[in-house]
Amino acid sequence: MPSKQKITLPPDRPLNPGKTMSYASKNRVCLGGNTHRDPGVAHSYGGRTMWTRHITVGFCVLLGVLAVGQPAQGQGRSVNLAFRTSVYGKPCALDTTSYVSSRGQRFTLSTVKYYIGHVTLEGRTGTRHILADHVLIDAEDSTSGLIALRNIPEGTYTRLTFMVGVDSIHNTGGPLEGVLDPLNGMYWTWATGFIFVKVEGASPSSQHPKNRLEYHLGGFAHPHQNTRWVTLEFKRPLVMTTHDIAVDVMFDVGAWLDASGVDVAKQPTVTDVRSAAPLMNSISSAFRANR
Amino acid sequence: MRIASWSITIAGVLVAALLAQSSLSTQDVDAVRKVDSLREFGRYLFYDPELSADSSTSCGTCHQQFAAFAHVDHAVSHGVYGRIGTRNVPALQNLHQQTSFMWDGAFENLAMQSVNPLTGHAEMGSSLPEVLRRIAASPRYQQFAAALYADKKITIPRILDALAAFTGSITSTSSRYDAMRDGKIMFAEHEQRGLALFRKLCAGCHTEPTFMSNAYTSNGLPLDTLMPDVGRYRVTQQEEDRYRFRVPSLRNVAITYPYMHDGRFRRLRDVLEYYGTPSMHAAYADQRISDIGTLNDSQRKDIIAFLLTLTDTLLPRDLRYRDPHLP
Repeated sequence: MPSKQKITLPPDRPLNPGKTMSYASKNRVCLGGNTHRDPGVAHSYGGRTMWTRHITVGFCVLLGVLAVGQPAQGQGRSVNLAFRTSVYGKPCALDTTSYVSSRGQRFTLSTVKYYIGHVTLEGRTGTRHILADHVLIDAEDSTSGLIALRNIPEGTYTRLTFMVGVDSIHNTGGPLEGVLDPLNGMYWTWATGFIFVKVEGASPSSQHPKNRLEYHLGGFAHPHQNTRWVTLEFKRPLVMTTHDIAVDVMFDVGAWLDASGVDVAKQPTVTDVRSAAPLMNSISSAFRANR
Repeated sequence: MRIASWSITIAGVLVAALLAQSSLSTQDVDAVRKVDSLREFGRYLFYDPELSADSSTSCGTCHQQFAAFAHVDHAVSHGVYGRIGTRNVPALQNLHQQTSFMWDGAFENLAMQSVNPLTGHAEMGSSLPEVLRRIAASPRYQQFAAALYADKKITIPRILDALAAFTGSITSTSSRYDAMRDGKIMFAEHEQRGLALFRKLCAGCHTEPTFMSNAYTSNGLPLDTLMPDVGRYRVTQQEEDRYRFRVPSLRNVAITYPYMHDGRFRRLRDVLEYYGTPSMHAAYADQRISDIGTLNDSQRKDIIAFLLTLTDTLLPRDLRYRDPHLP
């Protein structure tokens, strides 16, 4: 978990008194802003020795550099994303509802869980606001898909991008708390790596015991690198003013399975990284953003 | 003037960086203080049979200290409910030198590797929620957690970290070979000859001074049709990795018998007979195996004499690694 370190610059010593930049008066540094390093800054103080002045400035510059990537506290409003799971356009009903795929194969679902990461809101001018943490979305728990992108400055935002899966650094690093805790059942026990997408259920077309249907999809290393990026352009750009904005992101499991062309009779289970690729290749098309 | 003032600004950045550095090292120092405690937490876990489904099997059941944490005289091991595994237990030593773990390199992180034996059907057969339930309920482990963590909580990542702190601390650097390298002793003539042969024929894979490599290769063992094992292919799904296995360390090789991923050879002389007889190698053997050629009796004996110098005098009886439940 990234620390929410609060970085405060000395209030009586704006970095660049010659200009009225917002962070100089509010003592905050916002994500994506990199205007701290203004060469004019070293010449605007008087009455101090050069050493003190420069060390102070150097310290501030360093703080500024460190602060890039740290969300400022309390500035801007939130974009509240709600990731929801659906099947053929209807909210996903686990265990109870029987669905029919485009191949005419009936199936029920008992588990739909997947990781996303690097959730990024992109502005019209190319500004990017990135959520550092991975998120585990579980169809069973509607709160799991609620993601708040906080402190988004005013402006116009045109697209949302995110990765489905867990990046390689988090796959090969040590044990982590939270959504990446192996306790969540999304870590393979036979090899290194997270299960990016776990879909389980049953289908009469499956020849496995209890007609089991089991797709455990992962793979973070070449040549079976199965994380996939999703880019959702907003039909109407988000205009951030003084209000929070809500965006629903729908993941349609039915549309995804159909698009992948998976045949439940031939592939009732996929649990290895090589066979996961065709399913992961079509996953990006199954996401939609609704305002 | 402008350049001079900028260089002072840069100096300021450096000073500030140093300050930031020193605040980090306070945390580091604190972390170092906790390492002992974490390793002890890990040692108790390592030897705790409660980690297994039927409370019969601890990590230490199959990783025996006197055998450099291999399972002596077991080609493959038996886990919970008498289930039999499929691969020979590897020795645990100098794991900090390894970049991946298990015979097929399935795990790239020592702490995460523990998930495999804890949940393995033929090993400890438990589940992570069950492991957490039992460990979190134990007063002994609660004491460790209270000493180590501000929130006093026991979690799966903390259990895994503690196990790795212990297994990662097991070090082998006290063999006759090490003493010879340090100039403290001289090898006997046949050991010296063995070392020379070893360097010529074996060191291409078993690199000194760890005597392992982090690569995967095929030593050409014919496939056991009753227990077929595709090796690293299982992990990478790449054809070239079929029948490739980890190059294990040869440290303590004399006390970690039997040998090979399936424990098919009981004695070192069986191993040397295999490597020194080209007709026994399967077609998929690595070129370095084919290059060994035929070894005569005296060459095999010399190499074995050298391999015996790799036995650690300290590790098998080091109190820091000992089962804390023993009297």
